[in-house]
Amino acid sequence: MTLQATSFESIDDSVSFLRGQFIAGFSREMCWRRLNIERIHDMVKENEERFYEALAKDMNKPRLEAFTGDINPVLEECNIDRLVKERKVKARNGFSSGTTTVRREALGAWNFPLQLTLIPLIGAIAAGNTAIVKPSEIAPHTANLLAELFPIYLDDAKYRVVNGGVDVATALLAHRFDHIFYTGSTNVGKIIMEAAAKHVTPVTLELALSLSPKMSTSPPWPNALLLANSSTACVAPDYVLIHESLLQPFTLAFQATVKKWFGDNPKNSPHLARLISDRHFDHVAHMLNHRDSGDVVVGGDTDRAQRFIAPTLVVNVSPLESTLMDDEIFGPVLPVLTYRKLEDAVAYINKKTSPLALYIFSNKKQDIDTILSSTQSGGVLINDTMLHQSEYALPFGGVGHSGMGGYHGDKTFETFTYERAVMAKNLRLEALNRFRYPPYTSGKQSVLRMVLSTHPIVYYYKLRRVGIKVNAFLLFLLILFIRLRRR
Amino acid sequence: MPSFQFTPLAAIQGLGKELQTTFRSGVTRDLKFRKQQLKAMQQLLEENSDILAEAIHGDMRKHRMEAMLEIIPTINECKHLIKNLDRLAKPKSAKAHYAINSMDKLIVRKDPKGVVLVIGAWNYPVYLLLDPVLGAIAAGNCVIIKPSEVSSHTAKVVTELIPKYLDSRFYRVVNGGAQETTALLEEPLDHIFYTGGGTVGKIIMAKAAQQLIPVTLELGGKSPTVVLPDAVNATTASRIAWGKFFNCGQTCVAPDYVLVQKDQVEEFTELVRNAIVKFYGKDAASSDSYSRIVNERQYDRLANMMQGVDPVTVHAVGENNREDLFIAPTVVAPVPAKGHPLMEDELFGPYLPIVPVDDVDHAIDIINMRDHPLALYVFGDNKKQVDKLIDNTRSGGVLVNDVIIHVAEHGISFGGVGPSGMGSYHGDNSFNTFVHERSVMFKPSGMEKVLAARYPPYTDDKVSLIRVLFAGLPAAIHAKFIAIFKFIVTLRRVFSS
Repeated sequence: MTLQATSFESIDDSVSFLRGQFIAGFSREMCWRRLNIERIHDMVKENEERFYEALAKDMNKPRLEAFTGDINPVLEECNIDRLVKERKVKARNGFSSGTTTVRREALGAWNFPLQLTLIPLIGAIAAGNTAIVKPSEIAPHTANLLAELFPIYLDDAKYRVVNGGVDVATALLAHRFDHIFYTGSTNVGKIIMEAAAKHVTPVTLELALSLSPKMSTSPPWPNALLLANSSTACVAPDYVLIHESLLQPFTLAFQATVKKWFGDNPKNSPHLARLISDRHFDHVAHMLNHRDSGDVVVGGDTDRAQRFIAPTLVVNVSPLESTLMDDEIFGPVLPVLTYRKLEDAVAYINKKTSPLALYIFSNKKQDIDTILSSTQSGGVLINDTMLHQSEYALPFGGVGHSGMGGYHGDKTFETFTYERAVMAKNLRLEALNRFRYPPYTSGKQSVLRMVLSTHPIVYYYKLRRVGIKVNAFLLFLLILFIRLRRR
Repeated sequence: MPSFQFTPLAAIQGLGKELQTTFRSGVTRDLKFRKQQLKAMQQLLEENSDILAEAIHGDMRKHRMEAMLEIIPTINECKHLIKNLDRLAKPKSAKAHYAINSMDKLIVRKDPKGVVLVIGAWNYPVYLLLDPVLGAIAAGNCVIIKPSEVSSHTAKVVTELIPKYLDSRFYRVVNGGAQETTALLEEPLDHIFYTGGGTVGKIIMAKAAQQLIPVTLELGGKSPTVVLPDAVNATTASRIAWGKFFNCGQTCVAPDYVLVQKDQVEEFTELVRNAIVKFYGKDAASSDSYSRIVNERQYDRLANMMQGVDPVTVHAVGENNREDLFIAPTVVAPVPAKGHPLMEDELFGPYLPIVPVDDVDHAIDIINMRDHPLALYVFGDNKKQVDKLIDNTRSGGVLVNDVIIHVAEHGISFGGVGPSGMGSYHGDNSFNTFVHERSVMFKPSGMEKVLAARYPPYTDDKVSLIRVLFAGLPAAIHAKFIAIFKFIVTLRRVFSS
């Protein structure tokens, strides 16, 4: 199915119209924000079946995966009802208020087309912005469906869908936005940040192209969610690091699990998704078939016509391997590397760019702590995979090449607002200000020194935290002193 | 101007990689080490405040008092970070939203990013350079310190002092101009903090994009000052004049232009002129409290701005002198909101345009015509009008009834929005800017049976189980019971198969 692209003129119109709407203040009305978020909830819930259909057409996504990966997260996030809070800050006369940014552009991704497009949108609406949403063209059915439903459910004056390919995205980026939220590949992330630099627009980038290592220091391990969604999740465990003594039991367990889930012939199982496009199929097949090292012990079959790749385990991969290990696989192929000492495993992880997620399967607290303090990653999940992404109590984001900024839950709201510090002084007590005005004299300087820096005696006193009795005594002395002076 | 050495390019190339390696050693992560380095910084500032003030004076004839007003807040920030480091570095706990995650431990760690580059500015060469450096150190990073080459005296002093107090394995000073900065931007860095002008800010962000390095940009803008009718008095005039001519107007949050009710323009102009004379005397050039323009380039820029301005509107207190880099404190009134050379770019100099307005709405329109500024100043007691101005405009920060001093108050964050910058710092934010918030979720390895419902083969039974686990139970009580009952039945069915 072809994607109905939005024309360039209407893009220009949309952008300036939405900015005008924001300045007029409509999108910032609290009840308005709530209403539109509820409408997104309705839009997804009422059209659930149509979304399942679109996702199935786009990538043969099984219903359960569509539910947990796309539909439910969106419905859950709509329950977030954080509006503007004014925080009183412990200062003399200061308080900060979260205010809102103007138009923000969300560029959606194709692997979880609903979730990755709508969740940032919900946050943006909650923050009081107007928004342009550009779903990924690689999932055209879902994109078209969104374009159809948006004007029906949401306020078209504030939230619009723009569809199209690279040329449309480029045209959009030429405009000035107040924030750009992008989910996708590292390479495009760089292009977007560079375009944003022209207008000094802050960006939030949720990127792929970093390998999410999964480390096992000791059993037990659940044979986890590796193959869900045909491993096209940016946080899917990309490769496994396991102690050499545990390789055999792990391989056997993996084999058994694949058989249990998908039967003897995974190709016939309706529960295994396909790859989304020929290009992606070729990419994964190439990595698998042209690797430098490693033996395929489970799976390995591919079928281009169906864009099918069997759940595949490749063991004995060399640490120097590049074809299989230099790029994110984004497919159901799992390389396994073994290590002898934990430091070697950590060193290997650190050689690569910071991943979006790090998974550690272990019951030994010390191992876990060592790994945590000597590596860097967007997030960490211990003894499971992928679920931390759906737990929106935790901020989700990358670091280094896996992205910048974060979202989920409260963090989404934070991302789309900026903190504006407001300090209120009054026009009285002007006499005190004499000391800061020119002409600068040494007398004024010493007064200023006293006022600005905490006097050493006071600092020492505070540090010692003397008790009440001493305080009372000192106060008594002070009063005595003043009275004596008066006499 | 002393000839101080630029760092040779050969020394710059590879510096990032070297610091990445030393960062891996984990020494800077240790809280005790960080506190020790921060205390050393505090000593550096306290023991050398005279030397630093002298250097700043050498750079732009800034009076010692004004230099103090930038050194002391730096010391205070240092003390704040030392005192609060334990609290700031502690991982935050989070409470799970999903029922099935309720037995998990959820924390958000504050991990240092790695190697941070801090690029300072010349107008407050100590504060704008070292304040972010303090935050970066407190957050556990290795830091490359790049002072502005325009304030060369201060850069020289900083270059000499830092290695004496800080551990050179992790904290280095690099000096240079555009070429050296470009070389630095090609190094593997984890965060770039830049204070300066918008043009260079954009170049830095574009370069950072090539390596996906996050940036904090503290830029500038035209900070509007609104004087409401009830606030036209000597106090307001003094405060605004102080803020405007402090450091000869070369402050990113200086009150750029003033908006006054049109029938009060003359009165206010007079009040400001009186304040100027009170501060600097009839000839500001002979007052040692008045600083100078930093160099010829800036002087020429400012002198050219005045071309084509009607001299009748110009009230200067003194004669400009290029050799002395002296520009007199000048009030220009009335100035139209559009089409006037003083209303184009950020002034960054000792000119104070006074723009007549009809009312608050008119003032709002004028402010919104321009890019979002770094600060908005409002003088007045009428809360409704003040709130209206704040709500209908956007700015990095707001200060009511005074100017500039909100910068030193590190209880609140300081940063820009839109063209005036992105990101913020000061106080706690100085720490938070330089850490990566890393979510960690600990799942116990029990509960596997229940979670097995999410594994293939996917059946309708499993779908309904997952629905309950993730989406929760329906609200109505009787529906809840039915759902729980169904859940248990399905659970047994699924796991007995």
